[in-house]
Amino acid sequence: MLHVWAICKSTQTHVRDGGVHHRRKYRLKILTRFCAQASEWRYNKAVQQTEGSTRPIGLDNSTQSEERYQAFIRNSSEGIWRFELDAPIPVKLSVKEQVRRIFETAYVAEANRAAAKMYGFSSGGSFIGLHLDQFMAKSDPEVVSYLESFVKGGYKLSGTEYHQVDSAGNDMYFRNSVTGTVEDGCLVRAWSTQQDVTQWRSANQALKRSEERLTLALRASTMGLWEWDLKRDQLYWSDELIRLYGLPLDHSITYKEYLGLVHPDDKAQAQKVIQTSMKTGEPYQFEHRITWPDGSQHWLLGQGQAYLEAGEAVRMIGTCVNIDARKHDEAVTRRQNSFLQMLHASAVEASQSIGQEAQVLNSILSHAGTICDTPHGYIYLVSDAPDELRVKLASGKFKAHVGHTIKKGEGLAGRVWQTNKPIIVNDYDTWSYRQRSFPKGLMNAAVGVPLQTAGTTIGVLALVHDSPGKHFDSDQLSALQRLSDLASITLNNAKLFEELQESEQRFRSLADTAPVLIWISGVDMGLTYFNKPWCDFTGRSMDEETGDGWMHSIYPGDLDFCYQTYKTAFDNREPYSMEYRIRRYDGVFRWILDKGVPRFSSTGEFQGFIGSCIDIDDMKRANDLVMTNAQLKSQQAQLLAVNKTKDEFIALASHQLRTPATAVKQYTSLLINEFAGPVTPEQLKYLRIAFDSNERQLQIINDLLKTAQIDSSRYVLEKKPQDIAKIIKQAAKELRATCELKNQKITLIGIKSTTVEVDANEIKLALINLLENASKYSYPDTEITLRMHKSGKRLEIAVTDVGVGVSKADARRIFDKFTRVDNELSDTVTGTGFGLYWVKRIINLHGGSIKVESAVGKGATFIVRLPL
Amino acid sequence: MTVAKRILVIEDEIILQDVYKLVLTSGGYAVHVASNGIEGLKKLKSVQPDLILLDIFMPLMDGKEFLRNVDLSEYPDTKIIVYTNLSDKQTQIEMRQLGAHDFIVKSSMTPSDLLAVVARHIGTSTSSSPKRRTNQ
Repeated sequence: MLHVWAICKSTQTHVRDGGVHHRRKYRLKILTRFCAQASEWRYNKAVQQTEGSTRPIGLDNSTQSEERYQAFIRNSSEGIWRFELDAPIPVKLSVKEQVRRIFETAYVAEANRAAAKMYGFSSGGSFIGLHLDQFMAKSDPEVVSYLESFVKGGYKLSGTEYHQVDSAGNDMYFRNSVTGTVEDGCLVRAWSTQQDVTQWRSANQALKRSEERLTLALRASTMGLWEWDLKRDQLYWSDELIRLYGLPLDHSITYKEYLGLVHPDDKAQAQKVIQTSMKTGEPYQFEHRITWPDGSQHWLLGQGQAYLEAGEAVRMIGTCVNIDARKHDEAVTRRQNSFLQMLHASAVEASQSIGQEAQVLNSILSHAGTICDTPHGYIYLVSDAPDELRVKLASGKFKAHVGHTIKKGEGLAGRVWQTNKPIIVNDYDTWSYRQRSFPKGLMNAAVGVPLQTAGTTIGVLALVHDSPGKHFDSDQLSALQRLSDLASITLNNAKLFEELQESEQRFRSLADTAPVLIWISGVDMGLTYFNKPWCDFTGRSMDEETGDGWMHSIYPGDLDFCYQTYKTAFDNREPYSMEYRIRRYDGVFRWILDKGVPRFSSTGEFQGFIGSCIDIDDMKRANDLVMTNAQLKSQQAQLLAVNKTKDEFIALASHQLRTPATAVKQYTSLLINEFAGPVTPEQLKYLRIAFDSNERQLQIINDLLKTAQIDSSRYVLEKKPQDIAKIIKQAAKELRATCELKNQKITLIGIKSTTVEVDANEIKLALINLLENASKYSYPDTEITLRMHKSGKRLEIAVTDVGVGVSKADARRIFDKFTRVDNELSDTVTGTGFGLYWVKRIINLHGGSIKVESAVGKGATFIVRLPL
Repeated sequence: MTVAKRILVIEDEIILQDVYKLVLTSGGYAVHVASNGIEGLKKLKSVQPDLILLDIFMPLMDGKEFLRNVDLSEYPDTKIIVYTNLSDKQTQIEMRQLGAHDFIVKSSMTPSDLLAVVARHIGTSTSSSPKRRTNQ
């Protein structure tokens, strides 16, 4: 008799109509598991199908079938055995008693190899005949409870798993089914089949652990899992997946409903990718939005794949994760990128548009508006008045506010200025620092950031939302702060640029009005700049002179020297000074003094030379003159020295010569005067000759001395107010005796008392000299006239004689030194030739003049003019 | 008998010293000589002359220096005649400034001229002269 036992499915299945929602434990390898389960299920089904029959088919072919049956039993991998009892056990006994009896009286009547093996027996043979309690522990509570269940369950147990430890200490797991036969109210035998599910179980456990891990992992990753049995149209969603859709956990879902939850824009795509995979069996992946029951939208990343059997998709599985965070981050990044792009654009504009800061500020304000998603904004800058900000630029509804001023601490800008920090106000109308003058509703949310230079606030950039509900977030604020930095830099640059231009202007003004010629050269020695005076001077344009053009203006003979000096100084980065000639606009070469110094940047970099030149031509010539003058002066000094020596010599010599002559004079005088006794006439004669001769010598000496004195610069006149009349009379008186000798008469005419500033002695001597000459060069019995005449500022004294006169030619010479004019009387006249020279000198020293009017044989008139 | 007027001749040329001495003594004056300024100063003190004939060009101490070294207030009655062959104006002025009463160029004077000049200044030897004081 063949008994086939049913083995039920261990799975629980809730089967509902139509749409099926499987509720089961999760499996990692769905497919393998499914197959494994499928095969088990098939097997179980197969077994189930034969459950009804209690006897094997084909009783007639009993021997054949018996053999087949035996073979089947023998070779089965399942353990099959039959228990017989020593004595039947009445069913009415207590469970406990029955269990006890089973232990003691049940014995293995039949067992196959597999069964024996399960109990550690090598063959069924050794197994057979053993009572239960000989290979099962009576005290083992598991066995006891197993047997109790068997009894209580109507002598049936199916699919029971139990655990055993084999002789080697290994854990073993079996699945066991046993059916007992009850006849006449007693249990008589039992059949048992058993599977060694140790491996299966450990695999299962391993699998379970993996499943658990997966579950945990999935739970941790909130990855949703789905499975779609296409044949049965059974869609299975994991708990996580349910949550991902914001649905309640007990929600069941269909594909149609799923599609309904997909964002309309993504629906087509969703269908497409699924269908494509179903056709191709290729995996897909796509992002899509779904809508939750509360209306919120979320982003999911779905992956899936269809599995084909014989070209037809039978099943699809997939996973799903929420990518809201990523999408949000992407959105944030995109937004930040757009901010950065705008900042970058602003920065580029700012750096490129020196001198166009209004434009840059406008662009900054505009970008700020874009970043903050509002068209309303303004920029305040500090005005000239103290503690006041003025709106420089405005956009949107604030356009009309340009020029509006605000004090420190007032309103948003005023407060930002005061605190030097950015401020965000979310409800302006309730803000404590709001401007009272603003109408309510003008500003809702506002943000202001300071524009700063070197830590000082110079302005405020502000943006405003005028509709409620809109706010400014921190990303926007930091973007605004970057923009405000740019604005500050722009303003600062503008200021620096202006200062630079002013400085340039000042330099140019200075350079062009300075009286010096200015030039600048670059690092290559070439000239880059000449000031206006230079160009005017050379008559050439800056274009002609720059580079090396300047060399054409240099005097060719000086060019080498000029260039070498410049080059040497340039190479050594040292100042230089040189003189050379340069062609002026009129073609004339002028000496100039050129001084150059090296230029360095603020970081010490050599940048070329700068220099200035002045026209020193006049000075140079003057210097030459000065040198000549100096030479002349020194020559003059030498001459004067020599002259002085000469004068001193003359003075000394004269003096020395006088001494012996004086002695001669005294002694001859004594002799002549018979001091030493009487002298004979002849002695007297000789003595007189000697005396006269000596006198002549003395005269010569006197003349020499006087001339030397008159010539010397030390000749002193004692000019005092004198009555010229007196001097004239004195002079005439002194000549009287001389004139009487020749019977000459001196007549004085027009003598009036007149005060003249003169050296009385010298004038007297001069007049004596003239009168003497007049006497000497006149014949006896003639008249000499001295006439005085005053006219205006002049006094005129004319000495006239009617003597020999002088020729015109001689007239010029007679006032010279050493001159004696030859005339009739010259041999008889004593004289040294100095007389008239002295007279002229004396008169000249008095500021007067003397001249002669004469003709030969007609006498002469000497006219003396003296200033009054 | 009246005391002869004294003349001090300060002159380095001996021949001239001699002739002046000769001439002036013949004029009745008591003549004393010195050969230079230093001697002159000494003789001045001892002689207390009525007149000094002072040469300029002398060794050891010249006439200028002599005058500088004389306290003329001690000799109020002494006439000083610079008797020299240096005839330049400058010297004349200087000597007058130093106290000389007259300046005469030697070479222009004969012996009789000299006597005349001396008489003009201090009178003849025997005549009385004004402001004469007896020395202690």
